[in-house]
Amino acid sequence: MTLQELMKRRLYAVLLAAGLLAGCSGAKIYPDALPKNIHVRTETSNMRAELHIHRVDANCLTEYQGTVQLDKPSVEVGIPAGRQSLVAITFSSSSFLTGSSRSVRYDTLLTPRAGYNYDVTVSYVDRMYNVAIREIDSRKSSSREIERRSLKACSAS
Amino acid sequence: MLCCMPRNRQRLVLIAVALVLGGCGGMPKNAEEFRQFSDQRARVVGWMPGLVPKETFEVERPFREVSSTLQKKANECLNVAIQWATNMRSGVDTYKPTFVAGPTKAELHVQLRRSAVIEVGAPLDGAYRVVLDATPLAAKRTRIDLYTMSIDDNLLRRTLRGWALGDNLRCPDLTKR
Repeated sequence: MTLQELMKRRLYAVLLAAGLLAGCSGAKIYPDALPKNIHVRTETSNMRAELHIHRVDANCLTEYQGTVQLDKPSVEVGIPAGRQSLVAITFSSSSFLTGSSRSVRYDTLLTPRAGYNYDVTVSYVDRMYNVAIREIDSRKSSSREIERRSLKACSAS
Repeated sequence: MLCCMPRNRQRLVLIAVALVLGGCGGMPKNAEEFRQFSDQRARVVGWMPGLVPKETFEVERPFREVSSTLQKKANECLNVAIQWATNMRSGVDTYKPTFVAGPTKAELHVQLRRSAVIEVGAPLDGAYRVVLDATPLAAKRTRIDLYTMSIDDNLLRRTLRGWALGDNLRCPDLTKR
């Protein structure tokens, strides 16, 4: 590869990264329209964390609804109750110098119940990540951990 | 350095490196061979900073609990395919965990297949990177033997250690080895 080709590739990588930063990534902001039933607490170091919400229909097909930036220690989101959603959290970073990017994703099916709140703890520290979801019944002051369910576990009805 | 070499020479260097790393086809084909390979390396290489080919420790947890944690976390965290790209290259790294449970022993094997690297003599699902054996010692005590391929696998080693001890159940970010 010639130096000129290398420089061209670098330029394309920078333009692509600039495009992504300018909002051309295809990510859309998740609408703030529903009562807040999800409380996300985030702790990350040198990584960008995002929450992506997908609607899951009766045939287990997903439809992307939008993304919430987890750029504050605490964020509240409203996800439709009584309906299955696929909730995905991504941790990502990119480097202008090397033109490299990397992303790690955790997703789970979640069907919020009406009248319940969900506490989601998201952390990325020292090259390890964790996502924990607790369902909180505020009437009884009780809570339980929600097990991760992959989309493969979804069965068409 | 590599970018300035003619392409044929680059290929030769890569093949030579792959042959050396692969021991000319002597890569472990299964978990038992990997254990023996790690034992031999531990004897020959001895102690090197950051490299622990084999580590043995005991945990204050019942065998069944350790076994179920390993199975649950392996399914949750290690079934991953990582697509990566730089200005120069791209590829896919595919991890494959295998959990083997028995009444007196539980095993977790982790293999890695790298599309951008020729690993001569490696199994189809990729080279063995880490193997963990758990065996019951007493009602609430379990012995752990942890075998590691290289210093690149320290994150996996640290993760499996945390799962066995039960004090760190987080998933490793395998995009950054």
